[in-house]
Amino acid sequence: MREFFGGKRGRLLMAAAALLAGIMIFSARSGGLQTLPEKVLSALLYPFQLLTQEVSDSFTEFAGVFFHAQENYQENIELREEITRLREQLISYQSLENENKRLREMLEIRQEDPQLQLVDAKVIARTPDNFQSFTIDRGSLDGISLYDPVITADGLVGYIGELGSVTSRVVTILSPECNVGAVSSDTGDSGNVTGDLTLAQDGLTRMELIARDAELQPGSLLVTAGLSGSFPEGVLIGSVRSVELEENGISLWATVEPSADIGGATAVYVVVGYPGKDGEEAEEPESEPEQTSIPAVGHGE
Amino acid sequence: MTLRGRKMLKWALWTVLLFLLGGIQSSPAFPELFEMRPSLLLAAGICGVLLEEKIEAACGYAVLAGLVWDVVEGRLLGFYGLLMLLICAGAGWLSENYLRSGPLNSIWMSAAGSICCGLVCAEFYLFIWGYADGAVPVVIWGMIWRGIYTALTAPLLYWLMKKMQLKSMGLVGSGLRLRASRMRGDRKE
Repeated sequence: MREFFGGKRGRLLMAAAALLAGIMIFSARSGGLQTLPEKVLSALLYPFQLLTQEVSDSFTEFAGVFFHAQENYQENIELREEITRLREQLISYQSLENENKRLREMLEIRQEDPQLQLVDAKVIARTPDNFQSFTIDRGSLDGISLYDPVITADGLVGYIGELGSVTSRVVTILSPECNVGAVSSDTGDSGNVTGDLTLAQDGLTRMELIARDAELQPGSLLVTAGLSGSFPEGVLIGSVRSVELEENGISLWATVEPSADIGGATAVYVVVGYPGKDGEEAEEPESEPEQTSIPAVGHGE
Repeated sequence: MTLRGRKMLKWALWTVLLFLLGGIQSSPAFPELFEMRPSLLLAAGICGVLLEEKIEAACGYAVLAGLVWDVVEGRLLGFYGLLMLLICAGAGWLSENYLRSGPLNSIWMSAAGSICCGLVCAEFYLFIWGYADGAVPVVIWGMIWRGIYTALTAPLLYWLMKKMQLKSMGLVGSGLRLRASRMRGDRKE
C-alpha cells in the first residue's frame, strides 16, 4: 500500500483531497448561492438535464399507454359512473354555472393582482433524497432569489434552497430544513410546519408547536401565516390528517397531507414578489418560541 | 489520428457520458427501486478506474463524476468529489495489486462504494441534525436498495465505457496493452 500511495502519486492524491476540501469550505461559505465552479458545472449539465427530461417525458407518455392500460380501464368505468351521477344532478346545473362564473371572476382578479408576481418553471431533475427535493429550469437570470416560495395551483411546495444562474434547487415542505408558519383556516390555531423523515416516506409532513388547547381536527385546512415575510399569507399548505400529543406533553403535533402533489409535480410557480416579502410590510413581528426543533441550517418562518 | 488525439477522444467521450449520466440519474421519470435511484455517476467513476491504466487520471475522472453528482443532488460542492476520490483511489489500489479489471468487480465495487457514500451522506445530512431520529432503518434500507440498484447498472456502464475506449483507442490501445503485458512478463522473469 505504501508503494501505491507513496511518491508522486501519493502527493497528487493529497493535493487533490486538499483542493476538494478547500472547495467545500468555499462553497459552504456561499450561503446557498452557487459558487463559480457550481455555476459552470450547472451550466454544462443544464442541456443534458433538459434532454433527459424531454426523453423521459416522451417515454413516460408512450409507455403509459401500455403500463396504465388496466388503470385507464378502471378509471374509464369510474368516470362513466361519475357521468351518470352528474346527469342526475343536472337540475342544479344552473346554480353551479353561476357559481362557476363568479369564481372565474375572482380568479381573474387574483391573476391580475400585480402584487403577486409569479415565474413559471419546469421540474428538470429530481434529487434522490428522502424529501423529494427537485431542480427547476429557472435561476437568478430569471429574477428568482434565494428562499423565494415555490407553489403550484394546488398549494405550497417549498422554497428555493439553492440558487444558480439558470437552475435552482427546491427544498420541499417535506424536508426538516423547511419551516413554515401555518394557521388553520377554520379554527385559527397556529403552528410550525416542518418535515420529518418517517412521514416524508409517505409524502406527508408535520405541524408542530400547536397549543395544547387547540381545536385542530382531522380535515382542517392549513394556510401560510405570512407573518415573517418568508411566505405570502394565505397559501394553502394542506389538510390535517391526525392530531397527537407531543412526547413532552406540552404541545400538540399534527400529521399534514400537503395539498400540492410534491412528488409528481412537473411544473411549478416561483413567487418572486408578494405583499410583505422579507418582512417589509409584515403585520406584526414574530416572537421566538420557547421550545423549538428548528435546526440552524433551516429556513422559513 | 495520433495516440494523443485518440486519448483525448476517449476522455471527451467519457466526459460527455458523465454529464449525460448526471442528467439521466436525476431525470424526473427515472424508474425507482423502492423509491431509490442508482448512483450512475459513482458506477461510472468505478468503471473508469477499472478500465484506465493510469490511476491518477482515473481518479481525476472520478473527482469530476463526484462534482457533477454534487451539483445533481444539491450537495455541498466537493462533498461527493472527495468521497469519490477516496473510494476510487482505494478501488485503483485493489485493481492494480489484487483484482482483474472486469464487469464482476465493477458490480461489488459499485455496491460497496454506493453504501459507503450513503453512510457518510446520511451522517452529515441527516444524523448530525437529528433528522433521522427513530427512522434509522428507513435510511439503512434506502442505502442498501441504492447499492443494489447501482450494482445492477455497473456492468452496463462498464460495457459502454469499454466500447468507447476500444472505439477511440482502437488498435493503438490494444497494442499498448499488449506491450504493457509483455513488460510485466519481462519484469516477473
